[in-house]
Amino acid sequence: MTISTSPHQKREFKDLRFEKGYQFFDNAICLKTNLEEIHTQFHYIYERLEIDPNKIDTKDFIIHFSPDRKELYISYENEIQILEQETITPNLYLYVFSFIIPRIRSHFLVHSATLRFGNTLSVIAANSTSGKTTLAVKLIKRGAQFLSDELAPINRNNHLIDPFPRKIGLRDLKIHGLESQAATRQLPNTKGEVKWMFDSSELGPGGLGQAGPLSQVIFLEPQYVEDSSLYLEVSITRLNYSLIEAIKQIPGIQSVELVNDRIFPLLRCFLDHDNSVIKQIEEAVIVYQSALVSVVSGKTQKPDFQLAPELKAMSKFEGTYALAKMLLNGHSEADLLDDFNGSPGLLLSELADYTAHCDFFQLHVGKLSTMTDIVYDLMHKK
Amino acid sequence: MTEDTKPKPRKDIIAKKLGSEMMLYDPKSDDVHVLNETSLFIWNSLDGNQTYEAIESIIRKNFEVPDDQNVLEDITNICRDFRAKGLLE
Repeated sequence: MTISTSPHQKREFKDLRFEKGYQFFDNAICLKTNLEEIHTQFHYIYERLEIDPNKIDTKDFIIHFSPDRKELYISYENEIQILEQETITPNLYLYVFSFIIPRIRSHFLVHSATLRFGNTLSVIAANSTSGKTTLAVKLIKRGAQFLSDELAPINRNNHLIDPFPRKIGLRDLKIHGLESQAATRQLPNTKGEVKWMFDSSELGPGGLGQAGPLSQVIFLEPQYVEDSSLYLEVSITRLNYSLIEAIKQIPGIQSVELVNDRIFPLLRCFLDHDNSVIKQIEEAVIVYQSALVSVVSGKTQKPDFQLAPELKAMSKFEGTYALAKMLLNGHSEADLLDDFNGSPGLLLSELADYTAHCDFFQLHVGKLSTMTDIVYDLMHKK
Repeated sequence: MTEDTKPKPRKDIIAKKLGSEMMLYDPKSDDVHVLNETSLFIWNSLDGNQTYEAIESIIRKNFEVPDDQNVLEDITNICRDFRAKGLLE
């Protein structure tokens, strides 16, 4: 494990009025806080993962806001973070979850949606903005059972895909005919990018699917309409608003956009010319006590949802390799490879045990209705 | 140096079957190799006792191979490749 012991002292609080237990794979936490907003957000999103901390052994996850000190104290296991008031993220639930993700050892986590039709369990793997969630909701409406959105948890003990039934976050209600629910479905106490949250049972008849072996992985490959803006996507372990401000001051950076629906917070830094600012970003990240998970450069691109989608079969090795790459992008690479003596090859070798009976496909993204038909048919052919 | 015509895979190579292919992981070099169907058949035939000629005979019995195809040369090249990659004892 690369998680370090914090230099701060543990504190005791008497005003942690809000308390609830949650099971995040092999991490059972009891969230204790004096902030009603984080208590409400967590309950709203992770209601189906709630556990009774009196019956299950949990570890305390403390979030305490001190109005006098104007700071937020967060502690979990041996890690303590203290944030100044102005650096506190509005979407604290994501910050909390980013503490937990690197500690999950029971599962591989892949950025994807997971659905089931009968015995066929399909993982739809993609980066954000590829239409993954939209496609998943369309399939749920056609009767697919829901296991997860955002991440597919692959159980390393029994090789099954487990459900992770947090609420589904939608950016566009119109595309699903859900505009009338806008007023009641916005996540409480959030700022910035708006997402409306739904339980899968509210979106289709299939309900929640059971754990099962991996049948198919469909990688969504966007076909882009390209424009010319350069950017760097910087994934970091801990979000800190002072860090964002510091990065904005680096010469050569035009603007910084926070993408906070990833496993790790992601800063999309738009550049004037080239990506020679990486070193300065790295330095800023260290100063603000975060760590880089990954840096990816690119041009701003929007998927073209008007094109004809195209499905291609992949070999099992190609698919397993692509899955391993997604795993390494989703976890902190160092944390994940710790379990494999630092060897990506050994990780790939273990992953092959999970994928030997799985089919892999690449779906070039295009018109949503056609994509839905293709994946629906694929899931019924298996 | 004479070529070992009864080669044997290294015992510590981790082999994982993936459909019609085989993935080999070499823990010493940390390299991953992928075998196609032909290479896989030859890999599976290597036990330290089979000669290249014996493997050729098995291939000719199990697959429709034109008489004029130089199977022995293919086997030799593939085994040289295994050897070059350090996969054999």
